[in-house]
Amino acid sequence: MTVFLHAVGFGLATSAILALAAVAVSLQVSVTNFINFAYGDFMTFGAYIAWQLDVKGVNIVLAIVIAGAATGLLGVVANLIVFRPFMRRKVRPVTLLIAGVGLSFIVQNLIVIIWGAEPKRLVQTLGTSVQVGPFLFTTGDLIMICTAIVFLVLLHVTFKYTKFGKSLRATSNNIELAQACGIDSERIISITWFIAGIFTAVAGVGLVLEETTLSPTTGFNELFIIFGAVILGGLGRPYGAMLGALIVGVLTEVAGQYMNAAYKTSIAFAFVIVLLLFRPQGLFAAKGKTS
Amino acid sequence: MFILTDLLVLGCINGIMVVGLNLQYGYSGLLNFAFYTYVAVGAYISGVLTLGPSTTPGVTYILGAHLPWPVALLLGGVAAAILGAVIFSFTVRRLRSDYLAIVTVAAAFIFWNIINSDVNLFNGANGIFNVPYITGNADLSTEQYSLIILALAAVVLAACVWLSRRIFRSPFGRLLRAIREDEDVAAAFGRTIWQSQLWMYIVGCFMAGLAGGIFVFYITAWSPSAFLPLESFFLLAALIIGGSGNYWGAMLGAFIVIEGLNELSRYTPTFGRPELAGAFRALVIGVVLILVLRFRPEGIFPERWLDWYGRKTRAAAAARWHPANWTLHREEPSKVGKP
Amino acid sequence: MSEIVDIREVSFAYGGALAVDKCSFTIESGKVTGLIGPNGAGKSTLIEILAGRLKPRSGTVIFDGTDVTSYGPAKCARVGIVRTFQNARVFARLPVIENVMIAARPQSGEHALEAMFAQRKWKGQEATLRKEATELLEWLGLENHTHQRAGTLSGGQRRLMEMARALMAHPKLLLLDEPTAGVFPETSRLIATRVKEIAEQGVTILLIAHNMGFLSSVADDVVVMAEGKVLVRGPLETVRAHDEVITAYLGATVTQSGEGAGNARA
Repeated sequence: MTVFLHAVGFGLATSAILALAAVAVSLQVSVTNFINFAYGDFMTFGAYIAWQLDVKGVNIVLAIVIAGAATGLLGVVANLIVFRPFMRRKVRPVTLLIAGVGLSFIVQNLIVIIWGAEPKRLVQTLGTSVQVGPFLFTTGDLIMICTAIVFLVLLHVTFKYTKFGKSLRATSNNIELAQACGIDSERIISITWFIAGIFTAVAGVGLVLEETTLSPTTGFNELFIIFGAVILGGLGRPYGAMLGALIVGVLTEVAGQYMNAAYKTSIAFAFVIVLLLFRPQGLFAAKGKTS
Repeated sequence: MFILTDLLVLGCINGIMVVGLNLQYGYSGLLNFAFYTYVAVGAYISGVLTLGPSTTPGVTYILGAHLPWPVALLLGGVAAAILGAVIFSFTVRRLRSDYLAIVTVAAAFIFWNIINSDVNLFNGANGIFNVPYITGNADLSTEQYSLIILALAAVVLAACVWLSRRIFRSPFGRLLRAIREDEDVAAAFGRTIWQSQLWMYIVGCFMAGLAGGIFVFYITAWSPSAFLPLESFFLLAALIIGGSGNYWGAMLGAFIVIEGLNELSRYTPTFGRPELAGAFRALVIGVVLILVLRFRPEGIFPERWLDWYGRKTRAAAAARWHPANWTLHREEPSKVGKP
Repeated sequence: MSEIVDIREVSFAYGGALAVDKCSFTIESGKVTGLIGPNGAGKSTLIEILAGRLKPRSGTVIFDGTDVTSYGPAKCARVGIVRTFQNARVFARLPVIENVMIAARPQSGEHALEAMFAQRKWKGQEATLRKEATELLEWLGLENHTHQRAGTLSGGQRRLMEMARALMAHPKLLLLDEPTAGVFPETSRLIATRVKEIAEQGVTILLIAHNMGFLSSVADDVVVMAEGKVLVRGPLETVRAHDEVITAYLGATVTQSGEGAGNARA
């Protein structure tokens, strides 16, 4: 039983990371209506920036903040240079997807060129175990879970109570109508990319804390689990994505405890395939974004 | 020179692959990020069916026979085609393009992980080797053997191009183009979309299998590390950059993007870090891909340059603007009655 | 005279809004029937149901003795129900003549294996189809445009091309959704003449139109729909004077062409 609870605990930590990434993807999909294949590499990018700062001895929390801002910027730039020109011309959704793949090549290999391909480790260890109730966490896990909760609460508050949040919801609902109401959808989209970038970076750092090694493909390997969480919760629904992340995170960890851990990624991939084949609309069969 | 032969052999093999992918993506609009898996399967089957069952302890893999190499090659293609048909009916029929992309990538990775693991289907991470030369016991230098393989690859490539051309110029090709333009209208005239796409998928997978088979005869070995799922992305990029929807573009993409960049990356300075070569290659492909999508979405060699399409329509377009042909007000034609 | 189409109590709703409400009428074989009514009356929806693109919530559609309610668009086309679209949809990058040739069925060259290996089989058929398509296009006044890309045609030309394409499929029932919307008066007259000629060949035609001039020159009788139900049915002149029809149209603009028999007074 303890093993099970420990697994659930690990699952919570994984879910925290997944939730941040999944919410980022969901947010971006909700306003732009396509899936960006380069997200995993955004995560890796954020993680590398944080690692670089960590090596220089910067406080981990500060490092996360700076990495977040940097990745947010990356998202905005990517949108401006790569995606927006396509979206303006109303291309087929396949084109945006392939553009995302191209972007993934670029970001991932820039990382290899700048930082090299050997795995890195965080200098400051945050691996000391902490017992919280029946669960076993590491310090890193706890930081991650707390950060995730803070960010998600902030996001919720922004959604419901700020003008930006309302504009965002309007844009994601019906972009032309929102524009007709005077909402500057391009600005909303840019800001959304920035926020998504921040979340993605934090998720990336969380990945490193959990996996303890960082390599150029770290983010990409997580990409499909993230997609799984997003689709499970319903494409384009950030709250659904949080729930999806929780489920996927806990399930994969628990399954990993009882099966060969090397198969964990394959299990996650298989889960995504089964999900897409049999229940592509996610848990909540509501209006989705179907192209 | 040996390097030139090597270049051409690999170029032809990649050409077969991209021409096959063109049938799936260019002609039918199907995204297939698991394409390289079919190549790997075809390669394995061809190799194993000439190599025979395992005789060395510690080397375990499934299948194995001593068949003549043409049979093995064809069976490799057939195996890939069958696998393709199965996968198609499970996935392509039901999924929209981005979900299909996700599923194909996921499937490709799972397959690779299983093959690469301790489950000795294809002898794990070591793979198989000592696949016999297709020339049997003849005593040949590597250079001479490469030339023979080059001949084989070139012939198969020519056959695949001929097939693509046939399809393009047939009513079937026309139907595929119509489906690409407007699926609903095609359906409104009694066409079942997925049936047409299925055939192109199968033939594309067959070509993938053939390419894999030739590759394994050339390298005389098969290992998971030679068939990374990542390569599927590069093949698609090559097709799009070269010109999707037509076989010239496909070959152009194969030779320039895959081969050309492979060679260039051998000569890029690596500052003592060998992984940089591959990284530069991928980086350049990514940048060019986005540029092409943005500024020349049809690719370097666009479909409309194909003679068949171009000559008559261009003449018609030219004629249309000739003042003698302006018809603002038509008189009712004298012909009455349905022909 | 036989009834080739029998629509019985067909209902359809978009989400919560009822677009077609227990609609019932029959169409006689070989006749041209107009389907008119104010915007939102459910006319286009009914056409979509007949053509198989939408499935009714309830009710049945019998065509030539067969229950075609559950048939999809491809199956409907195969039994001889062919339609045109409200905004003329063409295969933009294909030449006009290929747009028309696509519609012909069956084509042996369209099977993948035969396309690849049995060229002799379909080459002859291709030539015949090309000839038929060319003749159809000439008949509709498009002979100078056969090799243009369909995307470059004007609106009126597209409608003519759509008709050629529909005819190429040798339809038994031809559904025309606003065949003269946005065309020159001359083209409109051409279309009217051709529609009558097609009907003379035995094709049953159901068309949606708002142009009273056009309707009076082609339609044998009309069905008036409003709010998803059939209001009244009969020859155009009678129906136009009907009280309920006038009420249904009040407030809606009825377009009319400057020429053509019968000025609209509704």
